[in-house]
Amino acid sequence: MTIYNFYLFNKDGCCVSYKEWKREKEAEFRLMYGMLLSLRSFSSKLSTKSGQQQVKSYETNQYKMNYLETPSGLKMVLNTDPLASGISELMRMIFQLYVDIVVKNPLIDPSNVISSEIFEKRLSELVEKHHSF
Amino acid sequence: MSIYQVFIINRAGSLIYDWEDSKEGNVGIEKTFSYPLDIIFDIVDQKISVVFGERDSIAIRYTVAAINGITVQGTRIMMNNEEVDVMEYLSNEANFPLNIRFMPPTITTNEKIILSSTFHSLFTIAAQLSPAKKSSGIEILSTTKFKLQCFQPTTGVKFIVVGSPSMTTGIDNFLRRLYELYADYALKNPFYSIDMPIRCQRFDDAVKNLIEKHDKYHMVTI
Repeated sequence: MTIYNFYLFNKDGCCVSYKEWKREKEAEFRLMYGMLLSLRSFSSKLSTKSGQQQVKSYETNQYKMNYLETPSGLKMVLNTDPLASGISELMRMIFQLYVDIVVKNPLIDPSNVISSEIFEKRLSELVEKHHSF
Repeated sequence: MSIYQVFIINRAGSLIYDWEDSKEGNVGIEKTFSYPLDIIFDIVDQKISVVFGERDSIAIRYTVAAINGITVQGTRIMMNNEEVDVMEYLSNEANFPLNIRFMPPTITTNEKIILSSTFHSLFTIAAQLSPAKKSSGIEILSTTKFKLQCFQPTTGVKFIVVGSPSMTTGIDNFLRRLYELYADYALKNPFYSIDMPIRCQRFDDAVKNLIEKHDKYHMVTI
């Protein structure tokens, strides 16, 4: 059980926050965002059911990519071990943290990279206390 | 049925076989509208699609199939022996009230080919973006509407099953069995060229039997 890293993209595709705990390989922001867009488009075209739908996660044999997208276009990616559980609740807590610390801070420009030490510290605390870490 | 679609993709990302559950009720919706329309349409992939204003089970992505009983061809319609643009026709008040028939979204053969190539790329990028070492590509993709499971043996051909979100048990065995059928009916066929589409009635029948057997032994409440 482990949590590798975390990405936060705003609606324009800019990576505003990145955090890693146990990553073993290099990460790339533009490639990740491009993949999210393709995944979203792929899933919406493949589904023939009524109504909107949202990607939740994908798994490989080594990791699981958990995805959360808010109606305002904010996208979160949390890479974990395939066996990690309770990740969707953790991502909602992270979003709540984002709202409390970043959105409510008038000094932070939403289109720039988040440079809040409190946000980074609280994010690390939240993830490291989780039972899947 | 809990299995919606089955795809086989070759090593280059081309679709060589697909199966789709035809029993899925593709029910159209017909309604009479007065001016002005409270549903907003747009042209998406050469079709008139609903982009805003869901109501009466007409949802986003539904397409206009017919107006006053006359079939719509892409974005145009034959009205009084004259071809008319549907968007212009719908914005003219003199044409109202009118009867519009909506169809839920479907996937055409061309779209399946495009989706297969897209998945081929996503599969590779997922391995590239892995935070762990020596990761495979996407094996399971979950969304709120379906679940996709992919099996790629060492030969590089991909076997993909798309099913209901609650599809869980027995899919690994199903995919390996599908691989066996592929080996038996495609690779052992002396007239079959590698990486070309599979056109074999026996293979079709075997796949259908496999799917029916799978559904029979893995009943899932949708």
